[in-house]
Amino acid sequence: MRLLLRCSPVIFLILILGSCGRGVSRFSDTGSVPDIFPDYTNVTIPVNIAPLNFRLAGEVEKLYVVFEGNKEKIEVRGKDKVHIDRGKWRSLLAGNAGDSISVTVYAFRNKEWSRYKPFFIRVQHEPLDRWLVYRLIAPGYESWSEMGIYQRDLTSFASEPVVDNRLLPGACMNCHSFRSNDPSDMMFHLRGNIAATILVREGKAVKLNTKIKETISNCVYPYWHPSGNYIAFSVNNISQVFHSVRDKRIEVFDSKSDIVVYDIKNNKLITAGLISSDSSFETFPAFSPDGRELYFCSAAKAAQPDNYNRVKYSLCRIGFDAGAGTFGHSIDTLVSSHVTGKSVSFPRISPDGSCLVFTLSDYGNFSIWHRDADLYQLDLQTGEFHPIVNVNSKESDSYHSWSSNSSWLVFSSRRTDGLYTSPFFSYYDRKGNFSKPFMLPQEDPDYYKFTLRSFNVPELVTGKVRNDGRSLLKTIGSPAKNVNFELKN
Amino acid sequence: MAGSDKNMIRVHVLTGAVLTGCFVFFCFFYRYHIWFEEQMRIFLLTPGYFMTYLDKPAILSSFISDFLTQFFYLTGGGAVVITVSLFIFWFLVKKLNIPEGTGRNAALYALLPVLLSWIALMDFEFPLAAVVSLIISVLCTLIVRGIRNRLIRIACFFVLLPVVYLAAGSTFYLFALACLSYEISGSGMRRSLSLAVPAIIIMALIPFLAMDLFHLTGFQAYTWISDSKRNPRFLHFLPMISLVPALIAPLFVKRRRTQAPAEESRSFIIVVFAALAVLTGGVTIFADFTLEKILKLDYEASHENWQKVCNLASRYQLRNSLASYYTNMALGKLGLLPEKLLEFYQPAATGLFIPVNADENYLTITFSNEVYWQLGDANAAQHSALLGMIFSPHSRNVRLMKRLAEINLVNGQYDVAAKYIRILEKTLYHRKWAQNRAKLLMGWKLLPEASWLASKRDIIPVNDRLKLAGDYKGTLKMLIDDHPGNSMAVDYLLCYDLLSKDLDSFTADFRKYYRQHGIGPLPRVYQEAILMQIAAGKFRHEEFPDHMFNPGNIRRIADYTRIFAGNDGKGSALQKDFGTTYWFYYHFASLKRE
Repeated sequence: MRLLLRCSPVIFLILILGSCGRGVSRFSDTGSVPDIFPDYTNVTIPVNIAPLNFRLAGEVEKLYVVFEGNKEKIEVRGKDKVHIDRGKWRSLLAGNAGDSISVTVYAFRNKEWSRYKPFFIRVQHEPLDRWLVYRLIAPGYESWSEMGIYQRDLTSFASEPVVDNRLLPGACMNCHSFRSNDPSDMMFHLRGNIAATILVREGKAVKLNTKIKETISNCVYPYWHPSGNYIAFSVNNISQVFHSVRDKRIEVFDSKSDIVVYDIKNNKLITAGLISSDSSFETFPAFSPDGRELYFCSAAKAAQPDNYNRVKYSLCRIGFDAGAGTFGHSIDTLVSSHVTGKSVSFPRISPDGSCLVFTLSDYGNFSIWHRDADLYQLDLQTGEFHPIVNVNSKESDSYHSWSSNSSWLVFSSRRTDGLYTSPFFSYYDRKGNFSKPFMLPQEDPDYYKFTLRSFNVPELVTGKVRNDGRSLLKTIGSPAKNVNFELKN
Repeated sequence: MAGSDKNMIRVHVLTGAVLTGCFVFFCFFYRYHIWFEEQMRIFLLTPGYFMTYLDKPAILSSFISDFLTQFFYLTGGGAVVITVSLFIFWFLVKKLNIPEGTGRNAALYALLPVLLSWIALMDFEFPLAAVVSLIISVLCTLIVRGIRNRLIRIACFFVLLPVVYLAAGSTFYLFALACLSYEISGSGMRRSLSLAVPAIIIMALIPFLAMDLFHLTGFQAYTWISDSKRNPRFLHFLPMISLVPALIAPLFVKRRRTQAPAEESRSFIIVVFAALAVLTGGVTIFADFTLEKILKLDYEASHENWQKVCNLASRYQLRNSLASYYTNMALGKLGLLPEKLLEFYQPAATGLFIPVNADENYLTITFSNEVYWQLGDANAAQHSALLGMIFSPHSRNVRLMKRLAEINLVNGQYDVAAKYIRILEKTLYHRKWAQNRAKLLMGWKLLPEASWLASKRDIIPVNDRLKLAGDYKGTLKMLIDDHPGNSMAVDYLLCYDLLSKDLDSFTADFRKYYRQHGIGPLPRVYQEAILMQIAAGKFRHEEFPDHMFNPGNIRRIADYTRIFAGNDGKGSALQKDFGTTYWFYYHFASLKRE
């Protein structure tokens, strides 16, 4: 008896462990796919993504989930959330790359187990660039307090600040941009009391003052030339006004805008009459992957804010000679606002040059505040474009960028609640198809439900950004270098 | 009774008196500061929430203090929390037994940092986390000092140095100093240096390493108190600094002799007077009783006790734009704004709206949404509330989160409303409120609680217009155009014109928007302004039936004009009889720059 008592904890442990390993033998079938958050049902994921932890909606006492691949399976138990072991998850994805894993969810409610219809997760061989750089900021209109640019390791849940305003109190930082997904060539703007542009080229940082008398404003929306010798910028007079009715919040519009290109080697801004016309607004520049063309959005000039909902941008293109730093003599219109009746923003071409994705909204260019904003794809060979039905939602789907291998698109969407922006990823199969997107996985699946900050400007980079805010403090504190100006053509 | 025992009793009575005074002060004289502190933050009972504390130093003290700040919601809760915290602090400092070797004076000396903490806590910027940090540091000191084996004690000291920094931020200097002085006191020079030098190097190194780990500037890493106060002021370090002389004194001064009873009594009296002087000075300099009154107005306004706001405003007669803001809001809600407008201090039109921009502090930005909410401009209220939340400590604010939930319920943005409600459901004292509001997400029309929602929806704008953030008149006109029955908005518009001394706009707006209910006289300030405009030929007398004016007012404007002309336009002769008339305001009030 004494022996039995002494051994009872061990027996108890064995019983517990035994019961854990057994799975669920008696259950009823619900006949439906589980309602989980984030929605990972039937999504396509890269082989290197962090575990897709999720929560089952509604009241539930216990959860038992089986992730099953060709050779192995993972069993996970939880109360109402699923936390998957990272090592097992990695091994499961590696073993099923190019194939699908099935996920069967069992829920225990009212003293009985029920089984949901399995859903599938397609695992793609093509990896996602390992790091995602984004700005975290409260969706708070024109002001800021706690905000910063952060980087997240997509193979785990580790994230850290690149630069934030704990380090730079009172400053705002925005428009971080990288050359061809390379973390060693980076730029971002500082606003507020230490306004400047911080440019990091091959690890060396410089602080620039880009506000010169010849241009409308400081440099704003950037895009790197693939050679690393130029960055195209828009210069904009941006204003913000407020809607009065309940289903709209903010309107942001340009009353003037042009495009300039910063010649890094010669420290000068160059532009041409065709991209800095007085009779039109030009904004959101983007170079083609070969660097020979500059895409941008253009709209006929109109008095603002009276015509705020009549300004509609077309997608245009002009040639660019990187050797001479000159522009072409004509502009091609690829997507005309006269045809669409709508407005283009954020043209982004896949690094392999096969697909251009842009945002289309009813009017204007600040699509994040437009519920109607959707992503469209343009076939650069045929010139045909259409909405990417698989990825769009009833809320704003707006800023987007490509992975270095052209297989993944990351975009910001407000689909969760209509106000707070989150990053989503969609697989592009190079045949013109995008998969159902999945939300950036978090260790705690409730993260998005509790966070009060939005993910802005998600940019994929191939490595970790080493030049973080602390190492840039000296540059940030130094006097800014003034840029020169040249009007070409 | 021996002299020393008598002295001990006296010290404890004094301590009791100080702590009672502290409780009374925070419970009865500073209660609205305390209440507002709770409103300015949020504490969630979730594991994910705790994780948000891990990315900066003072993890434990910040977490504990935010946990404790929840209880500020309860009447007297804040006073209890502060008093108990200060008692624990006193008790632990007393246990440190400083100045070394004079146990009785230690209890007395321990009152000094307690008094300074009390004074610092009067400052909105001084976080409770700072007191908790001090408690943690002193507690760790006592634990280390309690280890008998010197080697183990020293090893523990070195191990705990970074731990205390992580747990309690820059108050780890106190821990380091207290432990070092204990070890070094009475040791030889060589032995002392062999301990002090590495300890000081490590002490200097820890914040240096924290700069990278937590992404802090050098100043922040070396002075970190709490995330609520990233750039603390000298005042915030005074409680800690006050302990330093006593901690290092034993290193230089020989042990003092025991005092004679008479000497003890004298010292005690001196200490009592010193304590009183410190406290009186501290209260005079740092206590903000004007803000306390404003916060009381804010409290009553947030509970929609409009009559009480008016009564308090009459009693206080504050010459402060925030006080005017709440007074005008209450008058507006009661329909008395044009009747009693000039019975209160009016800093031009700045008493009607609070500007929302980055130059304002989070206190005023937090207040700024109230008037929009009461007027019916839900979107402007949302803009102000979101900005208020952004500028709050940790960018989390329970009061504004409630407001945002309500705004989004009114606006029919249920997904966002659900987000705020879900967060509030994880709090201790706002859970019930959130659960009640959560019912509205299902089907608000069915519930009796939804009457407020329906009444708000009746006055929010229906036609879309664009406006700038500070376009107050545009806001008011938009509200009236969409709902001409919004009498609060009409009064705000007309009073805005009058307070801005823009009589031409008043004339135009009055003609366009004012609708009189009943046949009584017009509200006083309107009568006075209209009489002025009739005299100036901007209104025709025939536009206004006689019953719209008090006959006395017509006589009074004649008297006013006569005295004004007879005194070369000097206000002194008019102040007594006409000081609260619009005529006097128009002629003599100087406009303040917003």
